[in-house]
Amino acid sequence: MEQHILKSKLSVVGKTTEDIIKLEGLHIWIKENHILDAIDVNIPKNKITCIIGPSGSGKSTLIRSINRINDDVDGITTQGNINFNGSSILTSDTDIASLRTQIGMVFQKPCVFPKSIKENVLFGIRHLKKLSKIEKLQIVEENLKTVSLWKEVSHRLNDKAISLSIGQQQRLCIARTLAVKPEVILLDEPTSSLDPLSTRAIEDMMVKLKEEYTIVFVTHNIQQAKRIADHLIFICDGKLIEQGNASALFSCPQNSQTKAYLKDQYCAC
Amino acid sequence: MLGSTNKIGKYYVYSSTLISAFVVFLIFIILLLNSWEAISTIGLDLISLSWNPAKGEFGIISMLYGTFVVTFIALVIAIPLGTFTAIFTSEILASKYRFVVKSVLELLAGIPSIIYGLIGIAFLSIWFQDLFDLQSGRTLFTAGILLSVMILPTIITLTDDAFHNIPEKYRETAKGLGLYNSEIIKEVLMPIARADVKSAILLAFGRALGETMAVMLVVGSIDKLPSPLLNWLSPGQTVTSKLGREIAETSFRSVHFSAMIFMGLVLFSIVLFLTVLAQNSSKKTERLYE
Repeated sequence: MEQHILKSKLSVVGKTTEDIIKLEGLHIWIKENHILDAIDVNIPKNKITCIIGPSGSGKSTLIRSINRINDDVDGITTQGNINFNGSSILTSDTDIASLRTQIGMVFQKPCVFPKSIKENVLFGIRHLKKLSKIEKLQIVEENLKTVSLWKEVSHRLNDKAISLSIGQQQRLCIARTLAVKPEVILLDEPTSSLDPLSTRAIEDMMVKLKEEYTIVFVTHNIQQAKRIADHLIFICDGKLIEQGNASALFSCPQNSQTKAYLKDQYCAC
Repeated sequence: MLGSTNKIGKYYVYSSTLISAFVVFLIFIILLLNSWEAISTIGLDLISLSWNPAKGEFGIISMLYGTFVVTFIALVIAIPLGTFTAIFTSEILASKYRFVVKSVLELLAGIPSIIYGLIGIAFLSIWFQDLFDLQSGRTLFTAGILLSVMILPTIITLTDDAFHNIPEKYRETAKGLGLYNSEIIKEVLMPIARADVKSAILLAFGRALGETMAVMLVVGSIDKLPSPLLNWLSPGQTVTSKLGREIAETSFRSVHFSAMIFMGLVLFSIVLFLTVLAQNSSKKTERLYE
């Protein structure tokens, strides 16, 4: 009975939000290893979708396939379909570079280019259109304010970005991705190398950003997912175990494996 | 007990380093001592155009000119060719082929220089003779072309390593921002690899300056500046080819011998200067990545 009510609740949630990305029967092999096995997930627009699972379960491979950054991995084979805004992105005539300007990505370890803070913020957008000096300054200020870095660095925008702390560097990386104005931002464990304070700062930022962007967030930290997720995807050993509304899933997981993982961070798959 | 072994190890390492450094110093002193006779008797006339031992004229300008022209031609061809090949092998070629292509290219470096010289004599100089309708195909230009092939592997291997050593995260980050591969190479990888590429070029420069056998066979061995000066399709002489050809004909301790050693000293100083330059350039721009 309870299950039935919950399912109908879930379907209501599913109907009210539009899915911006849909993965249908996605398989990925790297050489002989079957990394992802028939993954069917949808990513709702203007929500934070968290992908959780034990390490080695294929979380990173999954998120990295959404903007095709996996393409250059040696010996990779992809099967299935990924729909973004209603059209497939796995076709051979997809302009990958322009796809990546719509689906931006922030990586686990912050990677700043050996340039100034200002040039780092402008690095992506600079290639897309010609900018005047004033526009450049506006973009830098706007995006550094969004990631709450402006106060800390506004007086030294021309310093090397490498001089910032790791937490600041990661926020700079997010600002750089935001400057390109993507629709979707993929974040692959962006807080795993950061201190608790910077982690909280980034979490708060995500919650604000979801009004404008769709966010996909990989984390191995269940508490973090609890704090920020609207939609939850749990994968284990390359298989989708469960997905759905985050609060519903946290309070009442349907699958015994999900239950065990959410309780003990342990999965027997 | 362990302490004393450590100490022995330390002194062994120290003395090995000192001996190597001392050898460089020793070579410099020996060259200087042996060329002293020429420096003191001929003086500034060493920096003149005419070389005629019978008349006591020992001007090294035409040899220096030949060396610079040949090296210049070699570098102008090998630098773009080498860097673009390296970018291709490290960034564009699939990694399973990279190893094969690279080993084949590195084989080029293992070919003895006399073989290059023989090929230069047997084919290259004949081709140029026919192509440009020359009296003889043994020219500064021929030597430069041959030399460019010889220094190519040095540039390719070191530049390829420079690019390959750049961590993957820079490429992925740039890709994630929507850059095309060509933009990533130009704007992300090139600036990071620049210091190492510079060292590669300086090392190739040094090798080009010092190459003797192959150059000696095809350069023409005429101790004159070409006329007009930029007519590089005429025979010339380099410092190394001059030394290789003539040192055996001189009598030990004569002024002639001493003037030859002086040329060696000049060459050695140039190479030494380049090496110091190469080391400093890589020191200044530290590693930009961990």
